Amino acid sequence: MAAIEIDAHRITQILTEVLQDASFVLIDATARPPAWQEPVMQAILGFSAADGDGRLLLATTKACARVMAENMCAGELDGAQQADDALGEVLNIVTGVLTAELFGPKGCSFGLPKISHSDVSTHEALLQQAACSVTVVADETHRIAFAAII
Amino acid sequence: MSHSALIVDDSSTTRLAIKRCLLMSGLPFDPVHEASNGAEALVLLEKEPIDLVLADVHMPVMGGAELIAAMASAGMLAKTKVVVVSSDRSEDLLEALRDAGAQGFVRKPFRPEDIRSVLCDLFTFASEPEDGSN
Repeated sequence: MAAIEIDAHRITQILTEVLQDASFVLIDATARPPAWQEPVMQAILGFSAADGDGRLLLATTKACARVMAENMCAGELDGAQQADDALGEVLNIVTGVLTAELFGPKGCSFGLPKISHSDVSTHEALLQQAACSVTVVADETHRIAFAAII
Repeated sequence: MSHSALIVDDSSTTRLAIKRCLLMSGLPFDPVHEASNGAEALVLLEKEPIDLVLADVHMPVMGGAELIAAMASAGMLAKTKVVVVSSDRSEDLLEALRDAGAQGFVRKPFRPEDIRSVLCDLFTFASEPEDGSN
């Protein structure tokens, strides 16, 4: 079984493109990220391929997830769960792009995103397990983290 | 003449976004129904005349591949066209879905013109629809 190699620079590029195209938030990968505001919203999904399996995580603040939802629905929010739903959908799209690059035409199977609201220490403990993680700033205001836990 | 459509996606955000794209496309799709998984979609397909299904692949209860297989078994694909709207870019999966009966594919994230282009290839419209994307 070959090891899965994930490049942080490429992840940042994918994250930037997907967040801009899918949820219309502008990303600055070089800005100093603001401190977390609790609760940290985390979307996590598992993937499984011939080369190995793991989990992918996308985390941000409730305010940022709400902005994503508003942008994706052009303001037509459909209840309080829409922010959770939007964050999960963005992770789903990032996963599709990333796994196509990692695993080629055979792809991999991936599960449904699960959303949790956690405190900062729980979130950071999860990031400690990551083989690769990146943090970016959205709309000059919001902290977004992505991690691959393999 | 309007065509009826059914959007099948477990993400309510994406269902809203696709619905908005259909509206912006200026193409005559009305009514537009929604289902959050393949099983809900099958119930609607048995009750309502549906010309177009826009279906995600990864969904709880019943996914897009199982939905297309069930539609094929029930002889529904003769009158209902299926377009897969998914973030999954696995070429093997897309080929399997095409073999099962899917007639179009749209990758997430999508723009209104992506959906419009696929639908214009699949349907003959009475007159050139007004492009609502301006």
